[in-house]
Amino acid sequence: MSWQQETANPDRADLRPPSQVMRLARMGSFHQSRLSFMRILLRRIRAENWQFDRPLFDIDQNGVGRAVYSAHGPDRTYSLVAFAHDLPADKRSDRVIAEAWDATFTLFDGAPTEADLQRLAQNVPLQEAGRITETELTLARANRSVRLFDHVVGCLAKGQQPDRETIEAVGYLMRTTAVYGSGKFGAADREIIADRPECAAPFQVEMLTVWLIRTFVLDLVEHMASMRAPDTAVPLDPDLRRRFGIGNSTGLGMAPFLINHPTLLNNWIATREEALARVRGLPRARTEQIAVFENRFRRADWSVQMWRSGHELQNEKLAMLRDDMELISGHLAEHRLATDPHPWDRLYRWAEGALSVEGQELLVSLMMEPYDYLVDDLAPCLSADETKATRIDGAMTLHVLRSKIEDQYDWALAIDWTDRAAQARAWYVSAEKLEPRLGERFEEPIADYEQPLAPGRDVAELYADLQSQATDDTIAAFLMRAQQHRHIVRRVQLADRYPYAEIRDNTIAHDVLPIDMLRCKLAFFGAAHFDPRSDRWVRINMFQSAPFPHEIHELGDDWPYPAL
Amino acid sequence: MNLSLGELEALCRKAARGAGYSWGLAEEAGRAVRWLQARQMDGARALADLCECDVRACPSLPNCSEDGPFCPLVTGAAICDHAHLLDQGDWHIGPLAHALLVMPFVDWAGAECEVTVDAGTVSMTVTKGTVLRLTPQVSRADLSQDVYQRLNTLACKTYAPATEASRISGAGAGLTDND
Repeated sequence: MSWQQETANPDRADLRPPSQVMRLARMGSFHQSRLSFMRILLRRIRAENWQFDRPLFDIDQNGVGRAVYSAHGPDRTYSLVAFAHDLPADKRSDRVIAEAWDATFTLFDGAPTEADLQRLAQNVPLQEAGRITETELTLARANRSVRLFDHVVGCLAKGQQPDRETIEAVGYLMRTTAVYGSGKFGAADREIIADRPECAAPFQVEMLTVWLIRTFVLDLVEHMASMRAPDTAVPLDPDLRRRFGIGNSTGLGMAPFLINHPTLLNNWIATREEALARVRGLPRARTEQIAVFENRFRRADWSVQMWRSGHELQNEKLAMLRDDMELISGHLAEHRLATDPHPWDRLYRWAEGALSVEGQELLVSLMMEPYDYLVDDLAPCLSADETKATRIDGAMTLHVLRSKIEDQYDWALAIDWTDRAAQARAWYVSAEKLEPRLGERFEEPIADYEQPLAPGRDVAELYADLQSQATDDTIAAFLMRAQQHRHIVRRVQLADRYPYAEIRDNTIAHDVLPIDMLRCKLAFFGAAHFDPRSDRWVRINMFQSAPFPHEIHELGDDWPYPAL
Repeated sequence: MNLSLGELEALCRKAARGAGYSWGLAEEAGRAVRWLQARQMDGARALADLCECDVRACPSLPNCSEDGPFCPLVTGAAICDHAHLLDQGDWHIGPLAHALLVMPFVDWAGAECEVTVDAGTVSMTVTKGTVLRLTPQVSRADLSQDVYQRLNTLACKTYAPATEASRISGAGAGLTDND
């Protein structure tokens, strides 16, 4: 099944064009939705009645030790192996260049033996400096939120519940600073698990890792409180407990992902656009569907009120989003979704003229909420088999190649690349722990190390070189003379088949905001409350308000919208 | 060193780039070595050997010149790109340096090849046809420490030396993480 073949709704509206969707400002305003990878995971776990246990929990009062959490699906078991450490404050850093963490993790494929745990204890705490094997699916680490962790342990030890406002000001007890999968540092390749139904959607083992880490962290604070004061300590109130998500601190390393995985990016965006088109195509909305929408809207409004950011850029967007929520509220009061023909399409068209891009994209997510039967079956379309080598079609003439560039990359040809501001930045990898970075091309000695992450500039150079070539010549003959264009020729041919594969903005401009790329990817994960710390680093909250394993069968898929 | 195939592909892509190949050819190198190692052929060693010599020539397909030695990556890519011309006649290509690395490209081109070895030089005849497709045998790559080190040394050439300025601003940090 592919997204292109989906025609379940005969009234399906047109897809929004790539020229509108694939702009960084819009991608940097995406929100979680029914198609977010976290929600897909938890829906499956609930539907398949997965069972959970904790075969090992051996942690001392300083929070040092190890634990194993197992998730048993219909065919397989996955186990989070956790190592908890006592990290001095001066070692705590969220940067890739850090070398020690408060806790380290791996997701084991099956149930680990004691020998497995011994081997993992020698490697997992070292993270990038260790090695894992094909029986491990992910490698992750997390640091405590110092401001909240000690406070919560202290309250619980005294027999008190921490107050809700303090919790919501931070939202998590630990934040992950990397969750590696897909063969990194020796882990199993994606292809090893890609055929398993539970791994069909993207990043499912990574999301399972984070969800189980959240469980571990909440168990950890309750355990530490109880070790500290066995006579007075209390566990967290279940409703309060669910208010804790897992934080995540994401830096530049994630930004190139969207450029390096064009077919995957296409499938994510195209699937979401297909879902939107199906909803917009509905001729009318039923009362119960409107009720779901209005309920989610009110809860989203509350979530927006709770959303805090320390960054000026996000605060400007948040101010507009809060205005947008009032505008939507007013619009809903004046327009009857129940009697309007094509109510969702009308609502969306109104939003395009009335709301900021943040508000438009939140509305897109909200409009999908009532329609599990239109949206959820699209989940398998989010994946891409990237192992199929994308061969260059060498028989294509340069005339055709030029016209494809003009069709797909008009935005790149319109940029004046001789202007230094258009090429001010360069993406590179530092020798220091291989940290991906973005530098100033004309001020730092980095141009020789530039990564191929500027398709706009590269396509403009290709197009310029094509001007002097015979138009009936083939790409095969051209590339024998011009191997430097091989990378971008492949991309142009790919973008022709996958319309949402390419970000249609200059990724090396002086004012490019890498956080827009991070936001797009993290929204597909299902993250919320984006809090940029700079133009290239963002903190988020994952699984906040989500059920824990022991309560997943009692709570619904609407968890991203906090209870009022 | 036991690597996942994803790690192997990334290592080889960076090594080829470090040896001076264009990014597009470096991508081909990564995929080619992954294809070979999954079929238990030592593509990693062949790539390390190739990168340490300076063979970049390519036969001028479809009319093959015979002034090799030819580079297996450039030649392999050209074979794929010209695959649509294969039914106009066979190509005699040689001599080829580290000819093992051409194998994946011949497969991708939907072609077959006959290899001749003469006094230590390897040549091949590439023909349109359905080869006995080799299927992947293993999901990991075992590299000797020597080959791993050589490829890693080449890959390191793609990394910018760390400077204090880049450490502070390049990743965008600077605020405290300790909260």
